[in-house]
Amino acid sequence: METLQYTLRKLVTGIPLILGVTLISFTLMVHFGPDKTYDLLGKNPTQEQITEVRHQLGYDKSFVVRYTQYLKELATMNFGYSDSSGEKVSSILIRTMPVSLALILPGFVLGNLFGVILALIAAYHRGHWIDKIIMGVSVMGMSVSFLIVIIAFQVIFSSSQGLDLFPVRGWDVYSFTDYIHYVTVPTLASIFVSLGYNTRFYRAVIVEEMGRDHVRTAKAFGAHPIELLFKSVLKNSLIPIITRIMFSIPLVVISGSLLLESYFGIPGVGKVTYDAILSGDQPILKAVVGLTAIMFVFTLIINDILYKVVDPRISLK
Amino acid sequence: MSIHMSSKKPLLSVRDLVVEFNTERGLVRAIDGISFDVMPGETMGLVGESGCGKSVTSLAILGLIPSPPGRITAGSIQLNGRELVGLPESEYRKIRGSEISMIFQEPMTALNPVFSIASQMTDVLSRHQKIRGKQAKNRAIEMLELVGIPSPDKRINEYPHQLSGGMRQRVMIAMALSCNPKLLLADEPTTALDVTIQAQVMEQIVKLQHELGTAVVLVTHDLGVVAESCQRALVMYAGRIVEQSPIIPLFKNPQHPYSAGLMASIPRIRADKIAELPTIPGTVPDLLHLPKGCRFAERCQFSDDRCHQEQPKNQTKDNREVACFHPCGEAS
Repeated sequence: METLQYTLRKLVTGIPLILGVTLISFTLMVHFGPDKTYDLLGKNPTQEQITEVRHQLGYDKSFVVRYTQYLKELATMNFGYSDSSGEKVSSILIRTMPVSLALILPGFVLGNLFGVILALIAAYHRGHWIDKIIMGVSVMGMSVSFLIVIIAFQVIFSSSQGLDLFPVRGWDVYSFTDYIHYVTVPTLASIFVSLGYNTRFYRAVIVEEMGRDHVRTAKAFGAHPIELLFKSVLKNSLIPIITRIMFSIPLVVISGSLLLESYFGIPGVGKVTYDAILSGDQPILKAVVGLTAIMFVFTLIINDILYKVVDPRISLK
Repeated sequence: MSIHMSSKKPLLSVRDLVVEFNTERGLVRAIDGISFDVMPGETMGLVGESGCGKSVTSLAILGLIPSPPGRITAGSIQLNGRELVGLPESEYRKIRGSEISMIFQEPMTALNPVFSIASQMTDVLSRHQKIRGKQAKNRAIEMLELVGIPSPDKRINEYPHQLSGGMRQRVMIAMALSCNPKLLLADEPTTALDVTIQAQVMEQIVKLQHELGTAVVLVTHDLGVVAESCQRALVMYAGRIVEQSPIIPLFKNPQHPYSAGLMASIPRIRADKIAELPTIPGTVPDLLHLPKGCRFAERCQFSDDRCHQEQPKNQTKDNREVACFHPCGEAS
């Protein structure tokens, strides 16, 4: 009951946030954004033709009217049709969103899971060679550019010079085997890159927790290291871990897959967004920006509810 | 009540224990060759200033010296004749919380904030006593009742932050005693509590110690607590034991000048008002640069050349041991 009340209250307070984000992005992207009038007209257009096209594009309406129009689109999830392909924006998103999720999810989950496990091991052996090796490899993972990792992994796993096990590009998925076939290399690349950052961050959190008095108490009462780490320490460290994971979700889903999608030729949201930015396809951009804002609000709410689940000291009031 | 009662075997026997820490500034000997016995069922005080090695001593007994940087470099710790120094971790874990338990100074932070009292107590019980579920919970409730927590069947489901400091320390005591340990190490158990609560908690420890026959090593700098609850006390200074003695002679007639200084600096109601409370001049020596001779010589009013050159050996007399060339009460 408390949780439900809290969720509703947060949803209401999330509205100004959505308004703020959409207002700023609308102003930058649409109001000051590209003017497509002359792209659509031929050479030497008459004044009537210009007015006609501007009317069709809705440029002749006032800022307030256009912004309200945008909010209406957001509320009804009806963003009109893509400028470039003429396809319905909502159907583009419905088609590409699952692809992006399927591409990103395994790497995201495994990258965080391995990050936490390695961080626990490193923190427990703090100062020993195990810790030093894990941290050394993490710094390596962090230092190498994502692009280099992608290209290197493509060479290693997908080229005739390497193992030649997986396709270099494409997304031709009809079965689970196909899925594994196409998703493995991008997943390995994103794990390799995110693992460094994750492990370092989580290790710092866990090292701090390891120094707490209750850990010493648990040791003094004979707790096994596994129990100590995966129960006492992990549950206490979950708040910063949850925060990091939750806050990276909107970014990862919408934009994080951009590099992967363009380098592996996968038709996901990232690719669509990237193309829309290049071609000034406003209906798509408006949809992506608005949805990201909404997703952030929901993530924040889930985040706070998870805090409560993990830590009994936190009240949702 | 003697130090070496020949008829009884000591429960815990520490011999020539040396604990060293690797620090950035060099090797520090936090404990330098201490020896003492704890008899079954007795309460022994371990007294000294901060940094004298008393907490390190209790951690060493439990095998919990943080390593690195610390380690036991020499000596032995025997529990009922069984050597604990060098015991494999898996064996040591079976002893911690079951044969030797420990209560810590900070009840506010010593319990895990995100697990309920029930969960923390039943974990210990299932680990050492192999009882689980309802049975373990009932045993935990029984223990909470024993340490004087009202409506323990409700309290047990609460989290540490829902309890007061005194209640949390009672929970600690209940947890520590739940597996019937033979030895309880209490590291400043009342220091963080209000004075009125301090008395209650101390009373509880003493009462349970009598009922259960647990031996207690009470680590504290509070001489009042030692005087009230211990039969015997060790006085530590800069990593060494300077005096060990039954409690009444120690307070009436301290032999080591350091003990004498400690006793004199206890605030009390005196017949004649004094302008200033007596203090011990100077500060504890830096463990990195220890003097060659007696460690207390710099601050001692009786010290002479010999004290600065030579380390005094323990002298035993009337069940008392003192490491001093010029014990108080003797012509020097």
